[in-house]
Amino acid sequence: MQSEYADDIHLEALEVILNHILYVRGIYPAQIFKKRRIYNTPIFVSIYPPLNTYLAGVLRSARELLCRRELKCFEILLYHSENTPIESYMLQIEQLEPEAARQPAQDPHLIEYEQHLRAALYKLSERLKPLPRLPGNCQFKVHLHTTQTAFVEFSHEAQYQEFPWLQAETPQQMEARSGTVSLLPLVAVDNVGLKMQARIFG
Amino acid sequence: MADEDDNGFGEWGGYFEAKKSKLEEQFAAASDPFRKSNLFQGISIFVNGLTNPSANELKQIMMVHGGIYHHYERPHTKFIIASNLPDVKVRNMNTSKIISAQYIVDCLENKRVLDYKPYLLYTNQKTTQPRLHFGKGKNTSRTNESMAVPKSETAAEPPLVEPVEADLSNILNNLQQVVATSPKNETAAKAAVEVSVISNNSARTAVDPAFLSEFYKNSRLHHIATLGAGFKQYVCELRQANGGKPFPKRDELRSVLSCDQVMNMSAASVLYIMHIDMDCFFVSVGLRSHPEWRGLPIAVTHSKGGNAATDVPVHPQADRQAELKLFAERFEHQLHDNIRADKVRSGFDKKMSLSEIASCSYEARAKGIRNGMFVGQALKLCPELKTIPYDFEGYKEVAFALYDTVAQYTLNIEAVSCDEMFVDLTDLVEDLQVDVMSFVAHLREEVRNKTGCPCSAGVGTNKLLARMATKRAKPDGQYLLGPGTDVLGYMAPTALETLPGVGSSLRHKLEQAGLRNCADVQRTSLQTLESVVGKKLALTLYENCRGIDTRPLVYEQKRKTVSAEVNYGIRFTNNSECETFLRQLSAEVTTRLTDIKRKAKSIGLKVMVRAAEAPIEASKFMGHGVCDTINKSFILAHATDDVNVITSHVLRLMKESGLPPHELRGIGIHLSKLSEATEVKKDNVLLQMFEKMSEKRKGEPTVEVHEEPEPTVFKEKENDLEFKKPQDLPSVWDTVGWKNSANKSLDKSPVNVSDRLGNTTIDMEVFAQLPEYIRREVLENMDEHLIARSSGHSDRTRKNPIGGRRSSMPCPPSSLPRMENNCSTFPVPKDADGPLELLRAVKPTTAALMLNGLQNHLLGSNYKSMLADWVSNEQYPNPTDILMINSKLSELAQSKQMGRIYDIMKHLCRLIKKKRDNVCEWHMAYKVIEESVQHQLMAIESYMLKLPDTISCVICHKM
Repeated sequence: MQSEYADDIHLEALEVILNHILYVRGIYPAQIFKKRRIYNTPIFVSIYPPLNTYLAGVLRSARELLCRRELKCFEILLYHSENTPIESYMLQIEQLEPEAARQPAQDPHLIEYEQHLRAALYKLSERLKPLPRLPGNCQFKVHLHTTQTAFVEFSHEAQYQEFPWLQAETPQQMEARSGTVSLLPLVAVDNVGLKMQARIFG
Repeated sequence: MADEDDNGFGEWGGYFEAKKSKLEEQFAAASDPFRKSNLFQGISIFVNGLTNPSANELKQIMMVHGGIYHHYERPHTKFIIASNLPDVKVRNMNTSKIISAQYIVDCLENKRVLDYKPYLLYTNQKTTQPRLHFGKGKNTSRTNESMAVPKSETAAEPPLVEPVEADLSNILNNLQQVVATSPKNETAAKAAVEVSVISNNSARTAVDPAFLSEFYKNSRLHHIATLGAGFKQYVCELRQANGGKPFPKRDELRSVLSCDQVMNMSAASVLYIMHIDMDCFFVSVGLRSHPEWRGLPIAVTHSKGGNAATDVPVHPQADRQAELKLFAERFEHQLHDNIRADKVRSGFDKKMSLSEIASCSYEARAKGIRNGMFVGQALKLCPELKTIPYDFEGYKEVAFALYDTVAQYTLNIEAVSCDEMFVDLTDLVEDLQVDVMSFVAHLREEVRNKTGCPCSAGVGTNKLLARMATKRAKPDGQYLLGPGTDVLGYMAPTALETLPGVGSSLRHKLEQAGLRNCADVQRTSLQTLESVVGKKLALTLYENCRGIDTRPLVYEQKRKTVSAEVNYGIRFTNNSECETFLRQLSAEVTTRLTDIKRKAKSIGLKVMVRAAEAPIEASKFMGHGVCDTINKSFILAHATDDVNVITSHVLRLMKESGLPPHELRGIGIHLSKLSEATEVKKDNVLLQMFEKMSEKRKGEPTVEVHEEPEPTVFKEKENDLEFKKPQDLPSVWDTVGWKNSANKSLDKSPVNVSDRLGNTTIDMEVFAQLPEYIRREVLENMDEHLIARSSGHSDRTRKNPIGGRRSSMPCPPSSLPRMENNCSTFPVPKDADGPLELLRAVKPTTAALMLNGLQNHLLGSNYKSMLADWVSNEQYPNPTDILMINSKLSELAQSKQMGRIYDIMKHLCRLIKKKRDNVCEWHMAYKVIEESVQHQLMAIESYMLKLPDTISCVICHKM
């Protein structure tokens, strides 16, 4: 698998999971999601243009960082008021260089990959179910964890200027403020190089 | 300028510029009709001086093959073709584009543009600098020179130059290996054919397989160090061989010195330690063959001296100024070593030689030259300085003569280095009844006669004073710091740095405290000293400055470490080269280890990496430049002298360091914690026990599946797993059951254990003293080893649920029906009967157990049935089992299997709720497990786990 293809495939996984979480956690009304079949699984995907534009912008930036191997973690933050996050979903991306190089031989049609992601999505739904319902009027935002150099370089790229990123406060600062945080392990797809955990605040 | 403007050529940049351009145009126009190929497209040459093929021929070649021939050298001229350029011309040119005419010829022959680097005429290596010759002995090198005679490019030169030229192209090839990013280039081989057979593989870098042996043949540090270590060994051997025999030489001496019997008996109780040291060892050995140079300033160094040392061509990528600054800064700030910083500051000038002076004569010292100085700088101080090369054979010869001479009289020798030792003369003086100094004089005379080199000796009451006395004695003298002398006064002016154990950084620290010499320290109280340098060091310093030294002489010194280190010529381009080199170095260090018949327990890898701010290429040719040093080490379970073990660990350490191979500048392997190869470790009983057990295991036949009545059942598992035959199963149950009881109640049922252990080699006393977890391990291991050996002792009636997690299905066959009755989630099909069905359920973990006794079975896919068995079979949870679960969960936490922990906890919680909803013990058990897991995760991830379920029992909640 060429690395650019691999990045696109990973990006697709990110997109699916992002949409899925937004739907499952009820950030947006269910009406704006449409059922689609992805990875041979029904997934609810947003059809709401403003949201889609935003997601596209996020993913475009994520892709750039992914290609540069600078994306450490893709974090989806659900919050009610700006500084008090309720849940945060951290998708840790591990670059599996040797594995990725090995993949075409082992999994030429990405069937394994699809199965793993499918299993992961079901597990995600199952594990999210026991969580308490979110209060109404919740919002979400995305944090991309990267290095400072990558961030500086990135913000100077002309083609990403119209979708600017701001530096968020570090997780340590966030933790210091929020009281109890507990960890919900969600997905660990080893051969995809994806590990997802949710931090439940409060 | 005005003239040129006037002549009308202004717009072409002056007359000559116009002419050059015009010539170029003419050349292009003239060559068009003849053009056959575009081989040399974009290549422009300028021929300087006489070449072969001649300038005209070259011009024609360029015409025909699409190149450009410049009649004048222009800024955009790509290559200057020359066969020999006078120094003046070279100085004014960038040597990086001067190549030999052979390049054009070879390009033409190969019909492609070759790499020009092997054809470079001048590189940064001095022809006079001694070279490491790889892959050729003396004979081959001579043939090379003779082979070089018909060489075309030097045809115009007098034959005298031949060897130099041959060497030069040798260098070129070497340099090409260094500079070129793609070292494997056929061009090198092509060029080498003309010049010498070997030069194509004569890389100077560590990439070359013969590098290591060649390096060690020439490394002075290596020679000096091994000689020193060798003499420590030599003294040991001499002492063992002597075994208390008298010294015949003493009688001889007695008769010679009999007249000097002026000794008074009272002094006999005084210790006499002699420190004997050759004077400028390397120089005086070197002068044996050149007695005519005695009295001249002489230095021993690799550099040839003369003009060569003050005008070394500099590697284009080397940046001396930058390196100078870095070195100086590091020496000053990190080591507080001003001397070295100054040395670098004054020695890194321009093109001076960076060879270090190993030793210099007293005449040279008088001119301000010091050992360790760069040759270039030394020559500035003393232009008439004579440099002589190393003579390792000579050093060895003289050193052996020195040691042998001393050993005739006494074997109370502590070898310090090849030319320096401490000798305890107390016993000898007592025996001979002679004045100690007259003996010393006699000994020195004998050494001089035998070796032809002068030596100095100092005598004192301890090692420190003896060494101090030698300082006064030098050169070629002797001095006694006897019991009567004013030691305090003698020590007072001594600089602190000369004391043993005081290095540059300690000196800096002391200087900050205002302490410069021994007198300063003598005036300082011990308490003050302690506040400056710490308790232990303070005491030593305090005593040493008063001439007190409590260190005894060590006669039979054992090597504590063995190492091999190379920090010259390390230039790898890829990992495999690095690996090859590490293998060689490992083999080298292992040979050294086996040579002294020891085994090593600790393997250390020392890597020098180019400092981030240092220039790519070091100023010193192939040197390491400014580096950061990284040390990594690994302690082995057993001492080893196996080259494979050492190599694999070294490679792993290197891999773990993750350093890019091209940044490496030095590599060393250090073996320490040496033990005797034959020595049996008595203290490590546990180790012995395990070793015995693993020997047993080897003897045991493994049982294969092929006798299975229904093999298909087992084939679903991974192919290479081995299974027990069904008839062996009862014994599995036996051991499992027994183990379980042993685990739970070692003191309650000691009969069990000792019965079982009686069959094995385990010492009961030892066993009883082991910590709990090791006892468990031992027992588990025994299960594996002795599984086939049925002891006949069975505990079938015993319920053993947690053993089930080791071997999955805990119950012996007899208890199977009961299990089926009370366990609804039991995975065995209802129609199951007979051991075979049982086996199917047992299968996964039994197999895993056999594969790896310590594998975590909570990772297996059937953890649910395990948990179910546990919860449904036990009325009350057994504390040991809770502990086991806990330890397994913490293993999972360590390996970050959060998802699995979540599943297990959830499942366990549900099971307990479902089956043991009214048993508070189970609730407590779950709580304990949960708490410990959360605690673990808090430590590892700094978050608690979000668990979906909790047990909320009203009764135990109150408790």
